[in-house]
Amino acid sequence: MFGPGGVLFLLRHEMLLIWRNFRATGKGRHVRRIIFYSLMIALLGFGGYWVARLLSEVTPEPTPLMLGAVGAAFVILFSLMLSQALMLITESLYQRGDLDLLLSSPVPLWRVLIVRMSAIAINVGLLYLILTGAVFVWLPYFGGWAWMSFAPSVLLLTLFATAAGLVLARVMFATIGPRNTRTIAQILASLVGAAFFIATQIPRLTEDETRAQAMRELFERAVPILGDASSPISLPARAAFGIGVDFWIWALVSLAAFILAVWWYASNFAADAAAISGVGGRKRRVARAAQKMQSGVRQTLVRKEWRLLRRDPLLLSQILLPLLYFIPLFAVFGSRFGDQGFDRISAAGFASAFVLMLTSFAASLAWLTVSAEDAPDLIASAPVSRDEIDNAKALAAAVPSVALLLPPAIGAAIFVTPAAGFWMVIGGAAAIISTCLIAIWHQTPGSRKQFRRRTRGSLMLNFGRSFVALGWIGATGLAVSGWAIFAILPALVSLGLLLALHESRPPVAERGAAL
Amino acid sequence: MTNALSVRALTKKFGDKTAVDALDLDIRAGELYALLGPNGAGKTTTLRMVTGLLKPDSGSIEVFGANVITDPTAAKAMLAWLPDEPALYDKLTAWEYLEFIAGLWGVDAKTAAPRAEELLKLLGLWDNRDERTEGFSRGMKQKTALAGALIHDPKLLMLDEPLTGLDAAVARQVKDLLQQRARSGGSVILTTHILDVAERVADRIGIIQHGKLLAEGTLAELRGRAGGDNATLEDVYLQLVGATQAGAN
Repeated sequence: MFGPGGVLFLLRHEMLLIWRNFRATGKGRHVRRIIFYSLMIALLGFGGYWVARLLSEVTPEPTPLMLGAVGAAFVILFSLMLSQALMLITESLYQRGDLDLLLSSPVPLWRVLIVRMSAIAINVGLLYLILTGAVFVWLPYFGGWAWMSFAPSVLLLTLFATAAGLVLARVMFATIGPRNTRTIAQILASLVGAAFFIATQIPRLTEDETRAQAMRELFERAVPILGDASSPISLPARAAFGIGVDFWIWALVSLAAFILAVWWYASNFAADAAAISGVGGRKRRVARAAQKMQSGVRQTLVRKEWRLLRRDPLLLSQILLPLLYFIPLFAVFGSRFGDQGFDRISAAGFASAFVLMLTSFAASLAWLTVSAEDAPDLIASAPVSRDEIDNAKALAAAVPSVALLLPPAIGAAIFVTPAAGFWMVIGGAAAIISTCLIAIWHQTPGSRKQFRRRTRGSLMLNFGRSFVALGWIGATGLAVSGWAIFAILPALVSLGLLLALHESRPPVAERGAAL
Repeated sequence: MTNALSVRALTKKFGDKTAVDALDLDIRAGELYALLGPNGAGKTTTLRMVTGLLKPDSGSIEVFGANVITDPTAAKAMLAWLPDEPALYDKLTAWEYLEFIAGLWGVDAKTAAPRAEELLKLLGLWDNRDERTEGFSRGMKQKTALAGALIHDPKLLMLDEPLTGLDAAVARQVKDLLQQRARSGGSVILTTHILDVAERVADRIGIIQHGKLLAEGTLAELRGRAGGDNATLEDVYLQLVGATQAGAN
């Protein structure tokens, strides 16, 4: 177990890789990093201290209501953990890394997989480990022994969620094949992750009274199920309350589920891995009418970016999925419009929300078209200026964003007032242009495969970007609501921040070609 | 006659390490020149500076009289650069890749399409032209990248280890194409670790180490320097590189 090739030996290797990845994502000087982590630890410690102190004054009462509430929290946590586990499991198969090396070694397959999946479970549970751990360490100090099983129960949920992720991934492999699994798993994971948010927003579609009634009914229905002390569904909640042997049963169940899931997954792993290694090998032909070509640097670059986007459903889903979060918001406006038509205030709310969504969409797209480049040397060695390339790549992001903007703006012009439509176009266009300019000035070069892992610049840059967007959102809202003169202020704030971001841009040589 | 490439006192440092040290190099038009040297000798750094991918610390580079530093666009228009790892877009087909390169180098579509067809047929990729390159073998990828480098008919073609990882048949195809290109007036510079390749295809050979040119000339001239008509390029190379390494030690 401890020797070379043993479980702990492999686990140490995995942890080292996770740690290196974690460190690699954070840029900045060593001292700054130490200060940041020290502050985080102090903040967590402080928060944990007060939570532990408050909890210690309360005796956990596993009433049906409390069990139901904790059970509901566990359901939400489970959905988030499952989403993350599913994403990590599929990625671990597709981005093989050292998997081929490990599989070609004399280490048994089950051992490799149990360690890799444990690492995934740890990865999934890390955030919860930190959050609950901050409270956990203070509990003995305040005598809050009764709450001690809460944190371990949450961590056991991580194992259970990873097991569910493994089963789900295996079923997907068997039913839809390796080629589709990655994309579908990605979409599914995002949907599961977003499900809670969307579910909480759905009641907003209804009138206040109906909503309150619906929430009451939902609660009344959920509590008897989640809070039933004799039901296996409430086992994790009962374990969290430290009831009798429930904690140990929950520990056994989650551990057994994890081991069984890994065993089932391992039994088909060789075939799945072989199928995946053949994914890239399939010849994918593209239908083409005639042997024609088109000229022009800008057209060539724009067409290339669009082709690459269109043919990468995984990336496309990553860009489009955040838009799901806006569905409930637009549904609210849609229902109001259906009931009584749009007044100026509703139109302003709609326009602001739309510009917010548009900025998110344009930012993802611009970041991808401008920064993600699989052949940077090729582009840099072409007889085309850096500006021409950047502008064409930004255009590839701007055109779909404008296409998204126009229909609602035309709708606003027809159904509200022509001025509302006009201001929506102006605000939306300003947001798109700003987003594209920031993407050009503050590039984070990398290949398309790195898209998911790359952060979009420093914390300050993200703040700057967000406040520029907020300025345009506010300006659009004010202008559409009829106070165009007051829109000047947020617009000026955006322009000022944009100027600051322009001045703080890195030199051109750091962004790409030397000459 | 204008040289295809003129490099004068070219220097590039990475921190304390001098990768290219006051290098002078002249490549004639219509010449196939092989640049040899051990790992880290400065071959790739030199070529990357010629391509405009790296900014030199000092010195000058001219491609057919165009200054790479002051007028990079004019110089780049005459250049093609093929790195050792072919950089392709795996979601594009071979045809679309060539269309993209032709567009970047400003080649008119009416000229580019028949040229792409000719190159793909020459390199045996015509039947694969509508396949995404993600499914291509290493050799097919290298050939696609080579076709891309040739689509705009560059006056100076620069290749970094073009035969790495290729099977014998593909390697032969590439060597033939390069010789054909030089014979038809194009200039070619290639770096390689395979001395046999340099010996067979190059008109002139340069040996570089620690960023300096140790020796340069035809194979016969280099043999002369090594002091034996029967000496192979390997003998000459090891004698020169070995001597400086021993001197350095």
